[in-house]
Amino acid sequence: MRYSFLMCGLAIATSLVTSVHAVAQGGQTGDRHIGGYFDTEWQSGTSSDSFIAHRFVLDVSSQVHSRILFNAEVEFEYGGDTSKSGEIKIEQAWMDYKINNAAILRTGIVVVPFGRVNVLHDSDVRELTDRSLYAKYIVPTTWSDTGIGVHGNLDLSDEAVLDYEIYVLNGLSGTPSATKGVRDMRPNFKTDNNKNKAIVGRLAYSPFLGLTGGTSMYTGKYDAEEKLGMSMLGFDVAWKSGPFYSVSEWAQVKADASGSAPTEMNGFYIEGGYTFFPDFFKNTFLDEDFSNPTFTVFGRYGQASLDTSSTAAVSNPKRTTVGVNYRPMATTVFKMEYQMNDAAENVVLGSVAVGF
Amino acid sequence: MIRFLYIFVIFLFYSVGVLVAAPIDQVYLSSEKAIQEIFPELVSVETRRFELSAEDKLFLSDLLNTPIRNTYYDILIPKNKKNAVLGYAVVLNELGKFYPITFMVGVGVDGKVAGTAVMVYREKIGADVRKKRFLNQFRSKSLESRLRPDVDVDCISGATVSSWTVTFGVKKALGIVHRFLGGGGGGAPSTPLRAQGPER
Repeated sequence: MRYSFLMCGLAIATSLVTSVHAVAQGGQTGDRHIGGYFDTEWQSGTSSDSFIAHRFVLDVSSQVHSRILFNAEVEFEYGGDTSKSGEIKIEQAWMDYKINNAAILRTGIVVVPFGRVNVLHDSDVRELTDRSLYAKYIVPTTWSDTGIGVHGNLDLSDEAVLDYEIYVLNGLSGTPSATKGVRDMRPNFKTDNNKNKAIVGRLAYSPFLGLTGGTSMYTGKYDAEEKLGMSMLGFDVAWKSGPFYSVSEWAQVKADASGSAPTEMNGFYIEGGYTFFPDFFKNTFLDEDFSNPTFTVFGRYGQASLDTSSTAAVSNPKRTTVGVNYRPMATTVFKMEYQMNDAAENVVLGSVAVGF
Repeated sequence: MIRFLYIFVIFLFYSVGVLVAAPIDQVYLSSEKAIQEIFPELVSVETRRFELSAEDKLFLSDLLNTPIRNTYYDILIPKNKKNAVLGYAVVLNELGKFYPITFMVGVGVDGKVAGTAVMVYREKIGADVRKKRFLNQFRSKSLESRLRPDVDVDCISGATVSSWTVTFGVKKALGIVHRFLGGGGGGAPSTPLRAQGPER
């Protein structure tokens, strides 16, 4: 008995000492930073031809401590004048408290970690101008919510990495739509419509640099009475080798019935591209003073099935996009693409995006 | 039964301790540790200042397609216990998306990259460029190698700018060492020459 008490006490003391040592590391206040990204688009079809001042996103961050990071994004859409179709919204505002690389506590308005594109949605990061139908109706980017969770990554070997994020959030609210999917179910940031909390998470495994596979899950009650549940399941794969890349995502939504609203929907997209820079463009203005300008030709096919539970004719839009972009540097891109829609007019899209 | 309970409590506290006390990544890798990592056989390091001539700057700006503003670089020369030169290392501070990334590139006596180590990473995201699975891509690259991000070098999603920055820095370091060793505009010398420049 005495021996057991001694061992127990030693274990507690050891864990406390090592914990304190870990906490004692770091201790530096850091920098404050303002940045963001911006894009302007041009869209031309049979019924419209317009320049669109789509996004101006301000990013504010502060490394308050080597283990504490604050980050926020404010998005101004269409000029931000709400009397003229503009929007101003906080896309994310959170604080990270780092325990170690494998465990970082995040609290605030978070970008929901479902799939890839909802997180990696910045205009200067994406190769194409328009997001996919999957990202419009099924995983409604940009999807943000308020809550708390933990994220981190573990190095399984010199090559393999495991990433995870899991959050407890207020959750989606409203009603699924056969024309808009779950897009209008994105929550406000003031109050939850019920006492139920949603759980969402993504687990991604990368066996080596250039290949990542992820799976995402969401579950929660979406009605005020907490009687109707909704769950989502998604898979994503991203591959890159030399100048070639490919990314694809698929997700399914299942919801308890609410009137005539759909109870099942799904969507996917597959995208690929090739990066190059022809030698005959060297020593031209496209290359001058830029250390690594590139062109990327790309293509994407996607569709959304907005009510797979119904036998009636419903909206199942399909879209194919082909195009090319030019990046004088990593954070600046000129894009041009042709978008073919089976449920809407075909359009030519052009855009400029810059991260700063 | 009580004995098993105590053993379980002991195990639980040790597990929690290990989890919480898992080392917080070292944001700062000193110059000494970085060069030791790249050249594990070293026992001593000599430092020489390489003052850039107009021709050196022109060579580097042509190589990198961007102006060079530095007037000198300090070259670290690791040596083994027989006092033989193992290679040459350069510490660079290259601008990432918002802040400089400090990293060391080591070049072997064969003119090929021996290793790369990120010493200080200041960005809020993108720290995966410090990982071996990214940095190992640069091993054995030479001045003649094409180092185009997203073409010859696989960049990291979510750390694109940092990936481009490190790739640019490796190319720069190869050019600096080449010029330091007296190489001309036609590529790296086939045999290592005596280092030039004053000893510090």
